[in-house]
Amino acid sequence: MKSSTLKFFNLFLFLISFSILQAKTIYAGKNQKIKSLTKAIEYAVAGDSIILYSGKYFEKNIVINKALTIIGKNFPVIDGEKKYEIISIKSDNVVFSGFKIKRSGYATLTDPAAIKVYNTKNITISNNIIDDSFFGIYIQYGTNCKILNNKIYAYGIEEQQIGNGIHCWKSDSLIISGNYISGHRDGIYFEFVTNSVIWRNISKKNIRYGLHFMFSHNDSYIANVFENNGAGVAVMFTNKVKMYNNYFLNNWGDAAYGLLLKEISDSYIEANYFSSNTIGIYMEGVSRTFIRKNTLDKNGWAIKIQASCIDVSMNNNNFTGNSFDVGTNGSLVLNNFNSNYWDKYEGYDLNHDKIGDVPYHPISLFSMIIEKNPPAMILFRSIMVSLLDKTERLIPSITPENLKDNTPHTRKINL
Amino acid sequence: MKLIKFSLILICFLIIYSCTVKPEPIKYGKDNCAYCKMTISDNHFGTELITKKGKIYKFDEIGCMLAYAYEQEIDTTKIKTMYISDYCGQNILHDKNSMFFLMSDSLKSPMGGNIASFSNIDSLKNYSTKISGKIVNWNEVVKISIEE
Amino acid sequence: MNKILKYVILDIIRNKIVLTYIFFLFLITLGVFNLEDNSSKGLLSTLNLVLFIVPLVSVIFSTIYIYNSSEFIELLLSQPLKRKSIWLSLFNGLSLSLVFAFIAGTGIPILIYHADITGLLLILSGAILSVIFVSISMLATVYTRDKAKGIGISILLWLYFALVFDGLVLFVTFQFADYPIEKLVLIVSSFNPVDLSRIIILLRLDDSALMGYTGAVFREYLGTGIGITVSFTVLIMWFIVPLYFSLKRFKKMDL
Repeated sequence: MKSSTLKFFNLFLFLISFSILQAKTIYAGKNQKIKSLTKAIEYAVAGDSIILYSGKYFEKNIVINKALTIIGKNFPVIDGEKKYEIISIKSDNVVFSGFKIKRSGYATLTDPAAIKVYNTKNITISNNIIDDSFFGIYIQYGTNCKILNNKIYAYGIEEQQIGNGIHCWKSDSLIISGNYISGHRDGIYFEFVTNSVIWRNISKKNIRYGLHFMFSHNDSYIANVFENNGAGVAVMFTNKVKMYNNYFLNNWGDAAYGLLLKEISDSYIEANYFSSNTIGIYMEGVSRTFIRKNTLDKNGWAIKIQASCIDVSMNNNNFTGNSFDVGTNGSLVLNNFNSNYWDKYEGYDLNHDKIGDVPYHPISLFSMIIEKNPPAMILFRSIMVSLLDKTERLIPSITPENLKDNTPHTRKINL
Repeated sequence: MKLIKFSLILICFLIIYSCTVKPEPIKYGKDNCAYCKMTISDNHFGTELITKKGKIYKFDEIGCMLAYAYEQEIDTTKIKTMYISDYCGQNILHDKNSMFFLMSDSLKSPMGGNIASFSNIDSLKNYSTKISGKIVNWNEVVKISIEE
Repeated sequence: MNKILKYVILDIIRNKIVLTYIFFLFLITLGVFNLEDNSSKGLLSTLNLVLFIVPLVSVIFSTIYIYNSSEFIELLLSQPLKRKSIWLSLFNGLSLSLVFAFIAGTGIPILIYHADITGLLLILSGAILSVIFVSISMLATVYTRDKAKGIGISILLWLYFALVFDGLVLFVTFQFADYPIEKLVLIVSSFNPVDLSRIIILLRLDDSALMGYTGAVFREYLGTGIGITVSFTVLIMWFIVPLYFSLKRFKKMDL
């Protein structure tokens, strides 16, 4: 009896203190006075912190409409029972960290997510585990948001039944770092997102793309790993992209690309590692772009470059163990392929300056034929094709004379 | 002589084949858009273009199809028909002439064209009240898509 | 009949060429698997070997063998034996020994390095290709009694299947590039056993992803159990039909 009075008194004091003091910390949990996160948010005022203790919470549509720091202790679980959007952040200056969020709802027009950010700025979402949700973290009209060290798992089988891991739309100045994403439609999805950094994320086994962005200018992608995604990575209609030190691995399938570039300009793709992709880099409508110091190893096609590409410089890359080095459908006069290392190079180096004395032609005749006429693929690996390729290499006539490496390295470049 | 015979048979075969051509169901998640090269994944928006000679091109939305058809890739006089998915019907393709179109930013189509098509005018009206869209006709759709 | 068969097989084995053939195949296949860093690539190179060397050796060896045993055949014809059984024994003897040679030379290394369905399919198609080209060579030999001419025809036929046909296919695909010819090309390719077996095997390897959309169409038709059954039926037709026509002509031949 006495203790309950005391409890009541404490709560009373607690509530009083709200009005007097700024930035209090509110403790909520199964064994606390405040039993749920929704209640805690109701009590809190802007600037407060909420700590939620571990336990399983079935709460729906939690709206964070005040500037709060919300921290989960030992990963409290919030379960959306596949019906609701779970966390909606509608205020500036929110920190949301340390939760395990499970099973958000599914809908096509509203795109419910485990954590969704609406029209706000200065949000930090960190160290959460998001499991089996439709969309993982969804940011629309967000500015200056940080998404750090979250683990996002989903188990999608078909593309329609699953959303993207980290989905950002019409946002600016985001930092997305240290996240792990798997099993979603696209691991990281950007549309109309500018001035952002994507750093050290791992995006694996997503159904469609590991990373997918469109109309997202001035972004940097550094040291990410994109592995075993259904169709690799797709990058479209964007200028001023910087991609450094990323890994593109094992994106293998009929329509998989290590990196698909369409309508990209003024960009830098440097020191990346492309290995075991059906097509290492596919380029269409790419202009004023530097592709340097990359390693392209064991891909089906290392590079496919369409005639619509202008002023692409490919220098100091290592091409090793690819079935085809370069495929194209045009003559590609205005691109530069000098100073790469090609393991298929058969020239000589008389003055021992480690630069081959005769140019290397990286395009095989057959790769040109199928680019123009895909059904000819039926002759893939036939004897006639290998004979044709051999003759063409000796006496080039159909393959573009201008597409050549004038200064091929004779040894693998140390990168 | 044999070769001529063979090619004659081949030509006959092709003519017969191209006359009986029907829209092929789009394999979502497998087929690629002929224009933007992305995997076609949203079954509300998939479209198909068939040439007079029976070649089929698949696209992930109307915008891509029109861009492909009118920009450079194929001669527009060679197009036989265009087929477009019904926004409410699961993966059913209809002739473009029998469709009604709705434009709204909240549709979020794969390439941002944001035009949905309906074979049934009632379901279109139903949607247009829900998501505040603009009802447009085919010519407007073409105009909007090509301007983009 | 069995007696003739036994005699033919013994005669072929005594002839050192088949043993050399086994040794050669064995060495190359083993070498290929050891050179490539994974067994799937090894299988791919073995495929090239199977498509190129096996038909060539089969067709030339059997042509020469049949011409060389013309006296023996005449001798047999003077006996009370059916022409059919003589001809079929000859065919069986040649096919059995060449299939045996192929399996001993190439099959065993494949089973060591890549013993799965794809490996087995490769062995099977190599064996069928051996038989097909024995049958084709028999057809060539009944059409001319001149040995040089017969060998010439055999080599031409081999050249046609290994190279010229593919050239024609390439020509056709370019001529009809505006049409949806993926399926047609697939049907056309079944007019060539070499192409057909190449495609069956390729579609089962990782490399088939390089075939992109076209490959996906092929896989839809050939990748299934039914597709494989149909294509192997077509392959079997490829040795039955030439054999039938050669037999028909052999029966009426004035020797």
